[in-house]
Amino acid sequence: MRESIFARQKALLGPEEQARLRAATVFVAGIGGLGGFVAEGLTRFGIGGLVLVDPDRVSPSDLNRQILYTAKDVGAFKAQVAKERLLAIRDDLWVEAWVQPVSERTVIPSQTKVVVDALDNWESRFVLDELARKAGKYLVHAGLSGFFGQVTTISPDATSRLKDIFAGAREEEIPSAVFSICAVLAALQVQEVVNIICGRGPRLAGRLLVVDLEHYGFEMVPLVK
Amino acid sequence: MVKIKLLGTLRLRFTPWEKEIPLKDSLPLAELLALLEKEYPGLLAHLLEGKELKPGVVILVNGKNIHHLAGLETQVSPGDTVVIFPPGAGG
Repeated sequence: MRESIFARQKALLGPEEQARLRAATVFVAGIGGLGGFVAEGLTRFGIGGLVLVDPDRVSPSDLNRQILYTAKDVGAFKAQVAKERLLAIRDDLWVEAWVQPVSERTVIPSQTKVVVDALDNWESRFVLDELARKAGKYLVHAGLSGFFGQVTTISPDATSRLKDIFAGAREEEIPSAVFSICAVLAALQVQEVVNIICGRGPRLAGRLLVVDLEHYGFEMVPLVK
Repeated sequence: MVKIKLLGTLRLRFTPWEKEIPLKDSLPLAELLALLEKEYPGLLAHLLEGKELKPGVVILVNGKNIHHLAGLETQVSPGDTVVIFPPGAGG
C-alpha cells in the first residue's frame, strides 16, 4: 500500500530521502489554518510520525480554512479530529494528539526532527522557539495577517531567534484569515520541513520569505544574526 | 542611496512598495522616517506613537531588527536597506 501512495513522487524523492521522511517525527504546534495543512501535507509526503499540539475545539469560524475539519467536528478537540483524519489518509502513520497549549512545561520528544510553528500568537511562538532551541531542533515558522504572511526557519545555533527577528511584533485582536494564505504559507512550511529532513536544507534559515497574495508578491529578506 | 521596502499590510495603503532615498551621509532612523513622510503621507502615523515605534511594527535595517540596534536612533547609511512591515501573527 505504501509504495502505491508515493509512486508519483519517486522521481523527486529517492529511496533514501523517502526513508528519511519515514524515519522522522515532526512536532506541529497549532493545528489550525497553518498546522492542519502542514500535518496533512507531511502525511501525504510520507512522514513517519507527527505530534499534534492544540488545546482548542473546532468552531464554525474555523471551517473557512482549516482543511482537516468538517461541520460534524464542531465542538470536538482539533488534535483528536486531526489524528483521525490523518490516519484515514495513511494508517501506517504514527501520530499523537496532545490536547494542551504550548507552555514552558511542554517537552518536545527527543525523536523530533523538526518543530513547526503554526501558532496564532507571539507569546506562545517565543515560548516554542525557546523550547526548540533547548532541544536543539530546527523551528519552521509562519504567521499571517489577511492576505499577507511570512515564513522563516530558525536553526538551533546559526540564526537569530524568533524573538529577536520579530521583536516588537503584536497580534491583532481578531486576525483575518482565508484559505489561500494558509495554504500557501503552510505549503512552504511543508516544503522546508521536507528539505531539512532530506538533507536538502534548510533553505529559509537566515532568510525571511514575505508573501503577498493581494498582489502576488514574494519577497526574500536576508536576515543577519 | 537608501533602499526602503514596505511589506505586508502596509502595501494596502502605501505605494510604491520600494523606494530609493538619496542620502549622502548617515542619519538616525527617526530622521529618515520623517523624510519618508513626505514620500508616503500618513506613514508616520502608522509607524509611531509619539516618539516611539508602535507595537506591531517591525523595522529591519540590513536584516536586523532595530530593537537590537539603537531603536529609532539607529544610524542609517548610504547603501543600507530598511524593511518596514507588521508581521502576521495569525495561524
